[in-house]
Amino acid sequence: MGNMEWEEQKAYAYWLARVPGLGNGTKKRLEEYAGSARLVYEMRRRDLKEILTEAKIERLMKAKEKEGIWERYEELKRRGIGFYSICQPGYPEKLKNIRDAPYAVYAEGRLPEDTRPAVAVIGARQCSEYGRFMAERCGRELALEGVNVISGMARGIDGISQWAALKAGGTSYGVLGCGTNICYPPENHQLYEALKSRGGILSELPPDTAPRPEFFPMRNRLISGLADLVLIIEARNKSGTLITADLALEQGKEVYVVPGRVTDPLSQGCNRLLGQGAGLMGSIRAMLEETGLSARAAGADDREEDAGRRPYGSDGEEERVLHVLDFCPKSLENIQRETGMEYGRMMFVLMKLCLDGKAEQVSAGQFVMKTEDGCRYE
Amino acid sequence: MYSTIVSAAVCGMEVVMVHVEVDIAQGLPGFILVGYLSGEVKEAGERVRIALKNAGVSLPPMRITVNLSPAHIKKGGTAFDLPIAIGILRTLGYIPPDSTEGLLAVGELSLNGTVNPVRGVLPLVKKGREEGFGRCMVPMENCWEGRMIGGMDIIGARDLNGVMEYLRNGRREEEREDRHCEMQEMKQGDFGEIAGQTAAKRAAEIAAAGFHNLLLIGPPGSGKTMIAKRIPGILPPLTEEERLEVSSIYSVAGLLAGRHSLISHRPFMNPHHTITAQALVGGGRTVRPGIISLAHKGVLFFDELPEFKTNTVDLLRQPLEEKQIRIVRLEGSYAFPADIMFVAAMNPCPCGYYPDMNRCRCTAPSVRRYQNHVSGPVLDRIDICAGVSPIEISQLGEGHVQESSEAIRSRVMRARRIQEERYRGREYRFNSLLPRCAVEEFCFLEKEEREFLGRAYTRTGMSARAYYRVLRVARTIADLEESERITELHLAEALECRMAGEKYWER
Repeated sequence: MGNMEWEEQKAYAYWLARVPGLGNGTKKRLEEYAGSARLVYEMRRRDLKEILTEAKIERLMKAKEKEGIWERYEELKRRGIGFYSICQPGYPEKLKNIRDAPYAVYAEGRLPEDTRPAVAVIGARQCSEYGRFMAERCGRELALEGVNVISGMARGIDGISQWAALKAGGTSYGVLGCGTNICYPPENHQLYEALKSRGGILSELPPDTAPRPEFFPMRNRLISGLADLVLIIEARNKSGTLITADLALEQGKEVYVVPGRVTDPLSQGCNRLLGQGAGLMGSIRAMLEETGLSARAAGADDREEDAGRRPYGSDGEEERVLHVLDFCPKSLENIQRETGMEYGRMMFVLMKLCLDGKAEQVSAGQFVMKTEDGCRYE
Repeated sequence: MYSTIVSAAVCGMEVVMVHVEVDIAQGLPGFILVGYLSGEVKEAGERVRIALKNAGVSLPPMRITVNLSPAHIKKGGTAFDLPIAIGILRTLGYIPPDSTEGLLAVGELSLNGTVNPVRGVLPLVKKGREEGFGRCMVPMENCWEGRMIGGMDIIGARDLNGVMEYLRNGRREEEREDRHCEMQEMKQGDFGEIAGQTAAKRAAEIAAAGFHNLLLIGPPGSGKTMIAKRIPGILPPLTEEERLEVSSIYSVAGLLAGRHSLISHRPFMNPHHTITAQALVGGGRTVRPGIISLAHKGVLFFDELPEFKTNTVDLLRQPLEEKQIRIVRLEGSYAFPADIMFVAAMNPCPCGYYPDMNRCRCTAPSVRRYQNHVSGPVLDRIDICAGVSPIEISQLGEGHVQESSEAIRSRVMRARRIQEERYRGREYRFNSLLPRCAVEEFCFLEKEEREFLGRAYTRTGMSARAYYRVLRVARTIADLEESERITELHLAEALECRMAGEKYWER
């Protein structure tokens, strides 16, 4: 087929993708039955009767009447939104095999390469400082290992891990519960732009579709579908994250979790998954090796990560304060008591650490230690 | 037949001398009151007539005209009953004409002739003294109030017969020595009762020393209100002059009755967040001082700052700058003093537990919305922000001896003396009021310190306004430690006072 013909097929597929009231499966079956999207368009009522119900035929016929098929497709191209239907090349291989695979996906930026390992990093929107730390660390290390980070660009864990991956020079893909041209949540617009230029934004919803609550579970199946492994950083019991974990298992993907303390509600979901047999994320390297996903080129540095602290040399006082700081916010009183330093002195050292980016005040009078590369993503 | 009695009216905080002129003449019998009067003054006619009758004075069937002069000032209140009655008695010859020479009289009458207490006796008597009056007749229950002003002969009036007796024969009524014991001031609490909270207590101390306004941020139940309530206790005690000033406001507001003593402690006002604009700044049909003025020379505390309506909080802007509040009404404009230290408290997020994400369930937008409720212009006038952390059980039972308010107060007073010394002859007295041009002069930094603050300036992206604020607070901290030089340690602590509220200021 020539290039022009391809474009034409895509234009008709774009039409078919937007017909309301027909499921992904139906659309795929129709196209396979007719031979191409264009032929679906040209099918008569009589022929359709063999595979569709009366109501669905009505919907299809109704969708036919108004369209300027070619103009609409041109417009899509002009806006720089990529369109890939399931019956045409370019469609992500990993999505083809999931249940209720989308008939078409829209993308801004790139699509994830089929050959490159991908890990979905997901978790709570309102995460703890520990969750933030782990999301940053996992995002960064996955990027360094050459693994794509897939996530939903949401507040909290999702966005943090994706941002960390991009900052470490990796690639990341965001799957949205709205049209790819809409940035949701709006405060993540910087990440949204960065993903477009250094990764991709994907959605199965046509452009201009506003986010709606019911779209998000649908989106979650794409996140797990695009990934080879789903890594959960923090999740409460009964959270949306756990639904994604179920979807991942259904799709036959590996599920790994970051364990947490028994008393932390934000880790209860993770710990429960552990009990049900999920993998334990001790280090990214080990996790990737266990699952055979390690794609890293040889010769990269082999530094062993310690538990998150790095040794601080020079200044005795700084060291003392840093040693007391944690991922859990600590109050000035606690820091003072645990360091045993004089109040004014402790404050001075703490402020210096804040200015050096080694500590941070997360709320009035509450301090945490800050991660190594100093990237904090809001 | 004509006579004049001198009385006085309270307009806002000002006292205006009022001449009560009584004329009794032939004509159609009647009782006419004139002189720009409000409703309760017009009713005085009925009260006076019947009170006189019950005191055994029958009014002749003549035309009685009463004028309250000056006639261009709106007069309210019930304090004119007594002077009107005395005026009638004098006109009718029940009392000798010279008996009211140099006499100032106020009081409300009951129908049976009893004299009831009135508001504002304290400023009235003060004004009377300034105007050169030697005697002042006030209701018996207001006697003690009048006596707080020295140099005045205070005559207590119990009923009309007693008044006549005094004016005829100079015989005074016996004052019952009732309830003359000083009322115990409400205990304000002591910082020694608060366990832990080093940071918040320290912030309160700094705020008190430099007269900075303070914002406390912390989860519910961590003790924000407890700390705020104890701040008046670490401010220097009221001077004699200040006591009179504050008591005058309370007298005008009618809150001094039944106390039998001046206000001796710095006030602490803690209005509910549903407070209306009028209640806050003052007003009403007869203009009375609002909560801001009742907190004069003390602490005005807003608990749950974001719950207050933004326009209510914004009303604080002018008084925080000018130390007084000006109200304009139909009858004129009134100025009430409002030299307050503003203290506010809020939760870090709607549920209050942020940043403990295991308990906090607020979403990022809801937290932002909550924080945006706080009025920006008022935040701009707050120099110090402190976190109040949840108390841990270990601290509760520790039994550490905490520093008492008295000890903190002595440091605060020392720092205030240093400031007085330094700013002698200038219009500002405290570090918090330092104008920008003076900051460079009085908050001089050595090279090292300047570098430290410069680094903080670029690193945190603070505004120039915030920069000066940090310097003023650092000055106060240095004063507390009696250090002429501002060191890095002082700067670091001042910086923390700023950074703790960074999220609220720089948005």
